[in-house]
Formats: sequence, structure tokens, C-alpha cells
Amino acid sequence: MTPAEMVVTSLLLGLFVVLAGCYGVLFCVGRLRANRALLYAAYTAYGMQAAVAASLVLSSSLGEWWKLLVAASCAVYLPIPPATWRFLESLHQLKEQDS
Amino acid sequence: MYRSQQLALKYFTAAMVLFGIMVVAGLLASAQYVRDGFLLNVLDFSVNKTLHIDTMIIWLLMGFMGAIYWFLPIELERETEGIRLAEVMFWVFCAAVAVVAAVFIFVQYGPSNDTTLWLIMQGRKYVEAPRWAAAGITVVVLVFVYNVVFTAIKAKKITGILAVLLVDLVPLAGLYLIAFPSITNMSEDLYWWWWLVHLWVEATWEILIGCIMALALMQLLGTTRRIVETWLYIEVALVLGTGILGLGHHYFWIGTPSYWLGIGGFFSALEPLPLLGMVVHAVYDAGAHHMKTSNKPAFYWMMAEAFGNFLGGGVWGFMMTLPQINLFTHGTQWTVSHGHFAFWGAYACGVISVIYLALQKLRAAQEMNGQAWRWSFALLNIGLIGMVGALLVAGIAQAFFERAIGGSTLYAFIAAQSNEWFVQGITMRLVFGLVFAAGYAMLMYDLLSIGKRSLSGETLRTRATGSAA
Repeated sequence: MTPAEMVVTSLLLGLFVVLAGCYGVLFCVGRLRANRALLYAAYTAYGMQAAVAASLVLSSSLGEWWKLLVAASCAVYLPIPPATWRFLESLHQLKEQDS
Repeated sequence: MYRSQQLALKYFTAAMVLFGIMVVAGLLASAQYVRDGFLLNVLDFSVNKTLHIDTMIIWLLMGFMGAIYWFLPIELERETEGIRLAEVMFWVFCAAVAVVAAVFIFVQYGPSNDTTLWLIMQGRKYVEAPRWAAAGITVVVLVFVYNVVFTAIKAKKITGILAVLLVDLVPLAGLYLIAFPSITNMSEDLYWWWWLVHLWVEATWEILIGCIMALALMQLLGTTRRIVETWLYIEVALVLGTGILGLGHHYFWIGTPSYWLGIGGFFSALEPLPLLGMVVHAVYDAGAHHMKTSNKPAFYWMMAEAFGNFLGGGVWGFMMTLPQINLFTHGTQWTVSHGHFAFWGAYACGVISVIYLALQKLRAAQEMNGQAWRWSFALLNIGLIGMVGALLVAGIAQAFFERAIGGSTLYAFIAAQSNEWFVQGITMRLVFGLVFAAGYAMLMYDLLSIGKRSLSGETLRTRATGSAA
């Protein structure tokens, strides 16, 4: 790994998680406000995250296992916001039933 | 108000004083980076750095203990068992911290023998306190454990949050015992030392703050117990699932077997996943309550905790956790940047949030709001983000020029220290440190006056409206 590759790879890794955060926040706000544009923006953020993952897999000097880990974790990030959302909704429905 | 809650207020006060000392020591240390020879042989860099990181640990610990002493009687609807002993221990804790700080400032170091270890300093980062003080802190923590356990026993009541807290207290007290041994083999010593540093911070403290935030959420937003407890169980499972073996990222370069490269890298890479779930949860809660609360500062600081934890721990951590990157970044200002952001996001914001909650009850304020908290919130967070950004620039320069190009030689180290990017990063860290310090001053002003101010204002307004009607 060259010095420049080291810096670019680490910044891409940071960007990968930042975009995951953007995806989560936009998804949640989009659902809260029932705003389709925000939901599209959320999936766009995820698409960008997947693009960053692809560039890490295809062009970085990371070892094969780490590339596999990045690709797998990119797939795992996709269901986290919808699953968390559904879980929170069901919890809050229980709260309403309780009260 | 319970005596336990009065004790909690004392802990919060001590925590905020130590927070201030941490800020001052940090500013002095960062000024010493910028100006060679500043306070040399008066208050050396090593002393300022030690004071900065040790007070950080202690103020957060005091904040956690204060939070538990605050919520415990509410949770169990009775006074904390052994409260008198707890009150005595508070003063023992404060006295020990003051004496240790004085020894660090005026004595600093001694010969390499047991007397130095017992009376002056142990010389291990984060746990420099001499053994007598470490023993004192152990006793304080054991009394704290006794308070919680026996209050639950006497109350004959156990809640989900309390059960998690009780289990967590075992490693909280037990892991601190690693502060005592002095192993001469450096690899062995670091191996166990990381158990204390990492497992305290990324396991027991995460759970402790999770319990505190669960209790705070019920008070702040009226969230039901069922919701916070369910979420707490999930969070505990995820944080422990990734955090315990995430310890391996500290074992990359200390002489441990190479399998730690795989274990540490893998589990560390998973650590942002639960943090993303927490961010979604925070946004959901904010939206579900339409950002409406009677305690805005507590609410905003709680939100800052979720986002700060994700950015500081998740993003900054993932940038440098894979072994191929970490080879170049470990021990640079890059790591310092990550450490500042993660501690601030994961813990400091949560403690400040709980203090605002306690003050609302103490001052019987119907609403906690105003301008001062907004200023302190903005200045502290802008200062912090500016500092971590500046440290990141300096760290990247260091990793690039000193490690990757220079091959970590002494010459490369010296060259990187005078590199333009490094110097500018370190200078900007000081500038944003001053912004942070201004935020701290504003926070202190607000904590001393909020509630009193809004209560009288609200009362006057209500009365005026009432009389007009």
C-alpha cells in the first residue's frame, strides 16, 4: 500500500460509514414525515455507500478478506434502518396497547 | 429529595470542576505543542497530558456515579442503602483526586522502586495514580457497588435496567484491579492494561451509560419501561458482541500473536453497526415527540450523544481500524482525534444531559430553556468538532510523512513534526480548544442559573397573563 493509497483508502472507509449514517437519518426522517423525496435521498445515500464499497473492493490495496468484510458489511447496512424502524414502530404500538 | 440525590448533586459538581481542570490542562498541553518551551520545568507537557486524560476519566466516572445515585431512589422508590458511607466515600474520592493531582504537579516522578509506585505515580497511561489512590478508588467503587446491590435487596425489587446495571458493576469494579500489577514485560503489561482501558470504555462504560440513558429517557420523554428495557437488552447484546473482541484492535502491534489482526479488525469493523441503530432510534424518538420536551438542553445533549457516538466511535474508528491502515495511524494524532470525538460523543454528552435533568427537578422548573445553553451547546460542539478535525489533519500528515513515507525513523518523526500540515493542524487544535473552553464557561454559567431564571420568568409571565385575563 503506497502512502497515497493509505490516505485515500482510510478516507473512503470513513466516507463509507458517514454515508451509512446519512442513509439511516434520511430514511428515518423520511418515514417520520412520510416524505417520498427524503426516502429517495436515503436510498441514494445508500447507493453512494455501495459505490464507495465497490471502489474499495475493486481499486484499493486492502487484503482480500478485508474487501470481503467491506462488501458484506455494506449488505448488512441496507436492512438496518428499515428493520430498526419496524422494531421501534412495533414497540410503540405495544406502548399504545399498554396505555 | 432523597439524600442519595443530594449526593448525586455533589458528584455532578465535582465532575464539572474536574471537567474544567481537564479543559485547562488540555489547553496548556496543546499550547506546548505550538510553542516549544512553554512552562518548561514549571508545568511540563507530561504533567498536563496526564492531568488532561486522568481528569477526563475521573469526571466521567463521577458523572456516572452521580447519575446512578440520582436515579436509584427513583427506580426503587427508597433511599439508597448505606448512604452515609457513600457520602463519606465521596469526600475520600475528592481528597484522593486532589492529593494525586498535587503530587503530579509538584513531585511528578521518582526513582524506579516500590515507593514511587505506591506514593507518586504508577506511570501507566490513564491509571497513573499511585497505588494508595488506586486502592482508594477501588474502595469507593466497591462502596458504590454495595449501595446499588443492597438497595435492590432491601427494596426486594428488580427491574430490567437494574438487572443489567448490577451485572455491569461486577466488571466495572473487577477490571479496575488491573490498575495494580507492575509487569516488567511490556507486551504482557499492555495486554492486560488494554483490558482495563478498552473493556472499561467499550464494554462496561457503554452498558453503564446505556442504563443511565434508559433511566433518563423515561424521565425526559416519558418513554415506557417496556421500550427502554427492550432497547437496552438489544444494545447491550450488540455492543458487547462487537466491543469485547473489538479489543483486538489494540493488540495489533504490541507483540501479541498475529491472529489478533483478524479478530480485532473483524469485530472492530462491526462496531459501527449498532451505533447506526442508535442513531435511527434517536431520530425516531425526536420525531415521535416532535422535539417537544420541557427540558430542551437535556434532550439536545442526548441527541448529541447518539450522533457523537456514531461519528466519533463509528466513522473515526472505522477509518483506522483495519490493520493495513492502522499500521500507519496508530499512536498518531489521528488516534487522538478519534479518542476525543468518541469520548465526547459516547459519554460526556450523556453526563451533561443527566445533569440538566437533575437540575430541573432540583429547581422545580417547569421548563428548562433559554439562550445560554444554546451557546454552550454550540460552542462546545463546534470547538470539539474543530479540534478533532484539526487533529485529523495533523494525524494524516503524521501517518503519511512520518510512517508511510519516512518509515517511522527518528528523522521522519522530527520531519513530520515540522511539516506544514501537521503544524497547522496542531495550531488549529489550540484555536478550537479555546472555543471549547468558552463553551465550558458558558455551560457552567448555564448550569448555575438555568431553571432559576426560567422559573422566575415563567412565573412572572404566568402571573402577568393570569392578571390580564
